[in-house]
Amino acid sequence: MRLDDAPLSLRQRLANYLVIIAALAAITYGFVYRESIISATFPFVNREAGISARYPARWLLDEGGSRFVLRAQDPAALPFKTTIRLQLIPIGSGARPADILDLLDIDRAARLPAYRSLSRTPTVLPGGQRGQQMIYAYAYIDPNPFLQAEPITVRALDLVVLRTGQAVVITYEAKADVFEKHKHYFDAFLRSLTF
Amino acid sequence: MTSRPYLLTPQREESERYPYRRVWRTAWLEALLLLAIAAALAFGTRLIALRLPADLERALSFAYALLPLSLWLSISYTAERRALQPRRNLLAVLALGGLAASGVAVPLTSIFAAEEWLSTASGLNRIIGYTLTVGMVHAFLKYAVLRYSVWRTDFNTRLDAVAYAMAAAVGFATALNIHFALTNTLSLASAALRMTEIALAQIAISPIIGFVLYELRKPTVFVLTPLLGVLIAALFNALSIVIRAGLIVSGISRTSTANNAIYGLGMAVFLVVVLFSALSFLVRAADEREALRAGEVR
Repeated sequence: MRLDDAPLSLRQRLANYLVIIAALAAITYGFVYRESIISATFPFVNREAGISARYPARWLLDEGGSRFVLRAQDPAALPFKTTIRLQLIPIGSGARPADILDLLDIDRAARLPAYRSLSRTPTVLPGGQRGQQMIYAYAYIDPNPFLQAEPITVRALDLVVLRTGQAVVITYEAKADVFEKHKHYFDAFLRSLTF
Repeated sequence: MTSRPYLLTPQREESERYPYRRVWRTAWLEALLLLAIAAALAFGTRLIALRLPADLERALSFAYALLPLSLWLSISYTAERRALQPRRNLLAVLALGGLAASGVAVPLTSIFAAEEWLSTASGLNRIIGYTLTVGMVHAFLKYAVLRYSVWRTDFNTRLDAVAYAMAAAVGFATALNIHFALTNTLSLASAALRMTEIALAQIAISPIIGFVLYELRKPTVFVLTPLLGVLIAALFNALSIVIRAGLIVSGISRTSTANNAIYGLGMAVFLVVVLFSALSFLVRAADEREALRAGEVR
């Protein structure tokens, strides 16, 4: 069956165009599908603390009782799991967000190796609450000595917002080189956060 | 005086010599050799606890990436050149397959970065995700390479289509394997197993594209046939990734958390056996049906 110069029938042309259109559509939908899986979230509600949010669906959720209200970690981010943490700190009547950051600063400087506070800026949450954010960095050393792992530079962000008698501290931690890349998870978390 | 009987030599029936290269025979031989070499490397290095310098291991991995191409050249291409009617443009199609893989498939796949977001997704999501991304890109590129190069001029029989599709797949797999060898630092055995799986999956799936492209040559082709072929090829590609990942961790026990890469060959073997058998049956059945129909018309 030779086709060298024969014009193609309508069916042949249609079948070929269908493949091209379907391939382009499938690849485009592949990108959409990728976004839908990456940005899929599960709801988190803690009625006692009066907090609700949505965390990334693929992340592991931990509710830590008195230590923190919520901690979500990305199990696929290795060697340091990207983390979003929310904790409540009781405060006195005249406390300001900067005081809470000072407190966290002192605590972390003693606890975390090579801890450095990098910047502090006033910020507004997507819900309209005003607060203050602090960016800092430290060296994470794997507690398991048998792994013989090198220290990892972790970059983190604290966001402090005050409410009646409590400071809400929202922390985002990631390995320094993926801090910006994974920050969209934290931004999406903030957009869904209500308290 | 004795007379010797005069014997007439019966007339010898001239058997018609098959003018083309037997595609399936050489394809099976290449697949079996590739599997045997990969398995020998995997078991051999484990048996003698072979430890090579990292640079040498990378160089050997790179050399292994070229093994499917070497086997194809020494078995299929040599047989093709010995045939009475060789297929002329196999090398050109092979080069185009390699170019499509390195120029389009590799960059697109790295943009998708499917392993980053699909590795923890559910089984169904992984199959859909890999079909729409990696599977579709690979299947469509091979379709495009064949459709816009030799489809008009060189697809004279269904086996031509299969032979050209396999040549495109060998080029495609070689480019993927070279990229794999250059961007991964694995032990020689692990790299060999992974590259064998890549090559066999590409080669086993490619006849589907060839088969539907031959159907496309008929003016009365069912318009969805080529599309279904490309979708099925993309789905098989996705299944080969997802099931392989499941197989290599299937050996995990309470005493060890290490995975076993050799189980991954199971999927490649399955694809080769099932797809080669199914496609050779389909090609033969379709050819016989067409021959019967042609006989009835006469």
